[in-house]
Parts: sequence; C-alpha cells; structure tokens
Amino acid sequence: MNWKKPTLGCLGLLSFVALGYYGIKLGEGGDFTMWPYILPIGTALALIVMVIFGYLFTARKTKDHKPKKQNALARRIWSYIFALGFILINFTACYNCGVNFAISDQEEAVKTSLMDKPTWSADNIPMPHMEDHSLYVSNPDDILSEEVVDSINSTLLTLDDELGIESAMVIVGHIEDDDPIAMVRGIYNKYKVGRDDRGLVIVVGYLDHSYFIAPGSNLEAELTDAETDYLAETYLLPSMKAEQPDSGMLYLARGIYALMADKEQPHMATFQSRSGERVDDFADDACSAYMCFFFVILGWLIFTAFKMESLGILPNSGSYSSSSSRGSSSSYSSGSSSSYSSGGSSHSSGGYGGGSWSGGGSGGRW
Amino acid sequence: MDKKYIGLGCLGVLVLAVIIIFVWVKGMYNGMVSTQEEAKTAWSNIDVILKRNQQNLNSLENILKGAVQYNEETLKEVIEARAKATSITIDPTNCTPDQMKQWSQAQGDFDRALGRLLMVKEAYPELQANEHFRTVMVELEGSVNRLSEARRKYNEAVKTYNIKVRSFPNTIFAGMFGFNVMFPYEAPQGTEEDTTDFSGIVHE
Repeated sequence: MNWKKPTLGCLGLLSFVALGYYGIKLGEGGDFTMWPYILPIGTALALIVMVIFGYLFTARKTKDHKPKKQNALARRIWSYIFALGFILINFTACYNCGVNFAISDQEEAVKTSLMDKPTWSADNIPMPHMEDHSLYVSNPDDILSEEVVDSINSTLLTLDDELGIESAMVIVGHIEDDDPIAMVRGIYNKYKVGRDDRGLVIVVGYLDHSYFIAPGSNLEAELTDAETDYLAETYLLPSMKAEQPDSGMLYLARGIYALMADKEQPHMATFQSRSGERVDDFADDACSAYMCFFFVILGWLIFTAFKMESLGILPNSGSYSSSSSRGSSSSYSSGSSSSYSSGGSSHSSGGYGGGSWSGGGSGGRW
Repeated sequence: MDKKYIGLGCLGVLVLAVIIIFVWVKGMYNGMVSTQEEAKTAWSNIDVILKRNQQNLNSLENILKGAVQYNEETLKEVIEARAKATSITIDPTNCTPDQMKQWSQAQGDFDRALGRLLMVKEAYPELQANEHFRTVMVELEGSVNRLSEARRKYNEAVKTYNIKVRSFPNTIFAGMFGFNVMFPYEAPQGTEEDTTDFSGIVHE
C-alpha cells in the first residue's frame, strides 16, 4: 500500500490545524485597533492577486509545452494556489477568532473583577467634584475607561459652563440595597448637587442593571421625566444591553448636552471600548464582517470548483465541492480615538452648589 | 441722692431685661413660625403633585379608551382614589391624629391604585409604541417618586418643627402663641407590600 499520500494528507491536515491554532493565539495577543473589515477584504484581495498571478504564471510556464504537459503543469500550479488560498483563509479567520476570544476574556475579567467590589451608597461613594470642579464622573469600580471618563468630564464641564447645570454621574458595580433612587436622594442630600437647584444626578448600577436619572428641582421643567426616559432608551439602555458601558455613558452625557443646548442629537454610530479605543458598532459590524468572510470563502470555493473542473481535476458533475472551513468571526476594531475638545477653564477648588431634588426623573432596569 | 441713682439703676436693669426677654421671645416665635411655614409648604407640595396627576390621568383615559382591551376599572379606581385623596382637606398645623390617619389612608389608597395602573400597561401592547402613551406613563411613574419625596420632606419639616415646639423653654410659649404639634405622614398598614418598586420597571 502506498502510505505516502495518506501520510502527506494527514501531515497537511495537521499543519492546517496547527496554523489555525497559531492564528488564534496570534489574534489573542493582537492589536484591537484594526478596522473590522480589513481581514476579510484583505484576504479577498490577496486571493484575487493569487488568481491573477496563477493565470499569468501558468500562461508563462506552459506556453512552450505540449497541451498534455501544459495541462499537467497548470493543474499542479493551480493546486498549489488553491491550497495557499485555503491556508490564507484559515489563518485570517482563526486570527479573527483569536481577537474575538481575547476581547471576550477581557469582558469576562472585568465582570469577574466587578463581582468582588463593594456595594456603594451616597455615604461611601467618592465624588471627585469635591476636589476638582472639572470632574463630574465617579467611577470607583473602573467600569469606564480613563479616556471615556475624560471625555464625559469634558462634556459635563461644557454643560456646567454654558448652561449652568452642575452634574454628578456615578457608575458602580453594585448599589447598596439595589436602590438607585435612594442613592440619588442620598447624593442630593449630602452633596447638594446643583447651583440654584439646577443639578443633575445620574446613578447607574452596572451589575445590578439599574439606573436613575434625576434632574434637580429647578431643572425638571427643562429636562422632563419623558425626556430623561427618551435619553435613557436611546443611548443608555441599548449600550448597556450590549455590555458597552463606555458607549452608553458617553452618549448619554452627549445626548443630555445636545438636548439642553438645543443641538442635534448625537448618533450612536461609535462605541468606546473598555480599552479606550473607538470601535464601530459591534452588532452591525460583527455581522457584516462575518458576511464578508462568508462571501470570501464561498467565492473561493466556487472559483476552486470551476477551475478544478476545467482542469479536469474534478469530474463535470455540476455540483460544487464542499469543504469545511472555520467559522469566521469579527472583532472589535477601532479607529483613532476621539473626544470633545476639552475646553473650559481650569477649576482648582471643589464642592457643589447647594441644590436639591424633588423626586423628578426616570429610571428602571435593563 | 443715692436712692435716686439706685432707682435709676434698677429701672435700667429692668428695661434691659425686658428688651432681652423681648428679643429672645421674638427669636423663638419667629423660629417656630419659620419651621411651621416650611412644614406647611411641604404639605402643599404634596397636594400640588396630587392635583398635577389629574391631567395625566385624563390623558391616559383618552388614550386607553381607544385600546381594544380597555378595562376602565383600574383607571377608574385611580381617579376615584386621587379625588378622595385631594378632597380630604385638613390643616396640618391644627388637626387631630385621627384626621391625619384618615388623610394618610387616602394617600395610601391612591398609591396602591396608581401602582396597579402602572403595572397594567403590559396589558396594552399595541400602545407601547404610542409616544403619548409612553410619555403619560413615564410622567405618572415620576409622580410616584415625587410624592414619595414630598412626603419625606414634609416629615422632615414636621420633625424639625416639633423639636422646636416641644423643646424647653419654647414649649412654654408654644401653647401660648397657638403653635401645636404637627403630625407626620405615616404610610398605612399594607402599603409597603403593595407599593410598586419602580426601580424594577424593566425596559425591554
């Protein structure tokens, strides 16, 4: 029995698997700053280049040979090209998977680390605004990335300077007694957020899946319950459900500013990942990137089948050959990070303006 | 001559004492007035919020009448409870514990009815996309928090006033000037179990 072909076949398969595994490992330690479509589009372009090269090379190599020899040469060349194509698809798809796994692990690590965090109340929550007037976000459990916190602070500083709305935005893992309303009340009573009762307190319990947005007594007429509910439904809840707290809090702050300043509402096109990098909309781009890889693989399979049939490698059965391919996945990606320009004057002293709350606002769970 | 100076001295001391007593009593009286007014304002705020609800309930009634599954019972219950709560008019500065209890009971009935109404919104799925319906329901949910906060502030104001009125020596003059102890709002029995926890409202 000829063991050469089966042995070579097994070795080839093992190498294929090993390369895929290597691609996953490489992806796990990779950079998450790529544009999500770069891998499927790059792979498609590389395959197109290989096909063009294949035609040119085959034409050049076989032009001086007899037809029978031409065919044999062409089959050999194209076999190598098909194999290279599948290897490339295997590697890039596995790399994508690796990147996805790494981000999932990161998400899991953050969640796990959050489970051990203490519960927070108005009595023990740190309020950076008491030290520095330009800081409005309390993020003691590091749920938000530093860059996002800076961006939100910038937005809320603009809200304070331009519209006189002093705010406090709190995001924690667990709220004491899972009661965001009590925490809002406590913050207003203890810190008196808001000059002339135009304060705004937002409390989010990320692991409790609860929130409350509470405008001060004199702000209720401008920021009604219906408007706070609209802002939460539009910006906060979709992101929180997608486990994107960076995006949710950032766009909530921007949405509030846009509403109060009578400007155009921001569009939820970009997210802020926990690493602080900007990524495209996860749900839409993940799906689109998957579809790209699917079409790349499908296209390569169809081309391979037609070419093999024309070269006589496959009988003319009219059916496509099927091959297993790894599922593709998409990854978070990011472009350049961006934020509102940090304007406003520097504030050295801290403290709030003596405001109060009369029960207005809206909240709920997701 | 000496007797004249002693007499003048005594008169001076007497006048000074009268002035001191006058200033002291004035400060005490004004303090009681101030805390009483704060308590009365807090009381009025509860009434304002209750009356504000009427507009939202009217809007809700108009919207629900168009719904296929409209069940007027729940809404009617809320409207009647609200009317009863606002019809009981008592002067918090001069009422008996029974009157306050009656008022608190009416408040509790309204809370329960409103809570049931807000949970019933799931029975009208075709209205969930109606912007006006959503707005009215959000406003009603907000009014629950406002009522709760208004009652809490009223109780705090009453506590401050009662401490002032019942402290010695204020208590001597409080009765003389007509400053009676005020009664705080107490949630009636069973309200805690029926009270809707609106922090649990899940947004789908």
